Amino acid sequence: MSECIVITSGKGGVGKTTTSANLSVSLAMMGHKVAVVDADIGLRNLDVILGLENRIVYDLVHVIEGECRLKQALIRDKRLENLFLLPAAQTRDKSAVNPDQMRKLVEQLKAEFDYVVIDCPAGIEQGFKNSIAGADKAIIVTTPEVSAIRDADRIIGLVEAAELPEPRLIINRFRQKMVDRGDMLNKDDILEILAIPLIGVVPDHEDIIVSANRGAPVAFDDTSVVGEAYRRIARRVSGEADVPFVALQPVGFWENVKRWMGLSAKAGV
Amino acid sequence: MTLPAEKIPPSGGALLLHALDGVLVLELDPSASFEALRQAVRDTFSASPDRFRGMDARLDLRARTIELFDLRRLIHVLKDEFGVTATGLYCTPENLQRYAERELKLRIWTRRAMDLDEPPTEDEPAQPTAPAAKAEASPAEPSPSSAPKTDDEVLECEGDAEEAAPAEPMGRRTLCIDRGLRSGQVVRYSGDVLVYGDVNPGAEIIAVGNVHVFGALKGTVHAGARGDESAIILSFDLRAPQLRIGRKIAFPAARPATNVRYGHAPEIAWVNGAEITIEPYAGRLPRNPGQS
Ligand SMILES: Nc1ncnc2c1ncn2[C@@H]1O[C@H](COP(=O)(O)OP(=O)(O)OP(=O)(O)O)[C@@H](O)[C@H]1O
Ligand SMILES: [Mg+2]
Repeated sequence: MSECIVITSGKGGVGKTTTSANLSVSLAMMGHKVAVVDADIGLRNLDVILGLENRIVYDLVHVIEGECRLKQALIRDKRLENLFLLPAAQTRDKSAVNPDQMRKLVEQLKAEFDYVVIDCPAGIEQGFKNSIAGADKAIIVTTPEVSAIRDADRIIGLVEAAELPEPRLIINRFRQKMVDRGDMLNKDDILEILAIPLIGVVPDHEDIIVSANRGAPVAFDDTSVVGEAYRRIARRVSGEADVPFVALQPVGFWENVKRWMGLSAKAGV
Repeated sequence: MTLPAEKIPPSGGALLLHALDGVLVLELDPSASFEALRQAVRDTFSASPDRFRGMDARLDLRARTIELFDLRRLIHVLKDEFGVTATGLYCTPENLQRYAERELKLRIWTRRAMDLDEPPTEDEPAQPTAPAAKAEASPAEPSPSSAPKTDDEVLECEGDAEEAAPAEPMGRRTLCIDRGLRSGQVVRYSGDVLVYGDVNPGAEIIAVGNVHVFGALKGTVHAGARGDESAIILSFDLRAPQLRIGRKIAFPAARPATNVRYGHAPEIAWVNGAEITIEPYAGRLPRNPGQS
């Protein structure tokens, strides 16, 4: 039974593309056959994050307009033979595609793949509507900021109205130290508002930026705590129950001493 | 005098002409200035000056607020320059109230006849109907039909100005929503609204009657949206940054955070004289809501 999962957020820049790339890589590393679709037409960057930008010949709009076959547009990953990218067009915009066309495309992909992951553009307009059209499930990405949470709430409402069952939540760019200082909303504050199941908490971490620049998603990195966070999200997505959450930057010994001595104000920013 | 529909001249700019039940209706662009409106009237009617002479017409203000003084000037231009007699007006209840207050030089509190346990009487002010339009929002004055939203976001949209109010049904109309409301979701209703869930920041309820939230209220609520200041707002956890009842508006101070869900006692907001009072719900309605 294959499944199409849309990664969406409402607010821009909260980590949809990062999540799409890493979730796809993690699912593929588990042995699933995965297609990840960049639905951010006009602002594509999933290809860069995956390090596949030089291999793009055809894109999603070409497929939809019948200029090439789906198989021709899919780009196989360099590292994982069961991971494929369907890139977005960079020279077109969201209106080049409509929800019906997306639905058909997703049907075609689902016939071939175990998981179809859709990287949704920011906003609630055409690009969002296209992205959710063919999806079976939605994962909502937010950061622990009031504005991002407000937008996530809006998106959840729209996703529910579109009758996608039970959207799940990823909290991205989480900083335990800031939460400890009372400078960041904690998990429970966020869940109280959004009231949907939490499927992962991803720490704010420089590994993400380093790996994005290298074109090798952090999920490939066995030693990275963020990579581990994504691999565990993938296990939960694929139905594994009771996957424990990664420890989020445990407070170190010296931190404790400093805090105890009342010196912690600027510690660990 | 009646007017067949096909005789409507092309109209443009700040003025739209159409016929309703054979009567000429002048629809005024809500965003145009008075000067622009007057100019539009002159342009439109002077194109064929004798065509409308002797006719009756109604003005449709949509949601615009126009000063009584300017309204009269417009009516004079129609009569004196083009021989058209204004015989009717479509406007929002808020506008109606403003004009009545201006004329009578009295503050007016409207209430529903049924709240007084009396049958509606002849001089009960009839709610005007605005057939041509769901009124647009005028930014300063919230109205029951404010903020045009796309359809899929409006969960329940009833009781806009279209609805004829004089024949209030027996008993109060109630809308129960058996879940929470999320950011961007809007509920409009011509009676009371009950929500079994949280009303999140960015969600909006506009009710002609009371609003009860059996959960945390963090979004925007306008109770008594047609001007009924005897309406109340009640919530298990009242944390809205802003409340509106009738024409009153309150900005409750932020509540201290609690780590207990619904950590605050149920509270009720009501119009106590000149302002909205928020107080613990004592198991009954406050006395004399809406009166000083
Ligand atoms: N957990 C994280 N830690 C550090 N940086 C992060 C994290 N997640 C995302 N970022 C950074 O935030 C930026 C935005 O991420 P990304 O492009 O994934 O967001 P997006 O939601 O897809 O944005 P858009 O709405 O523009 O499509 C990137 O520079 C990325 O490297
Ligand atoms: Mg993106």
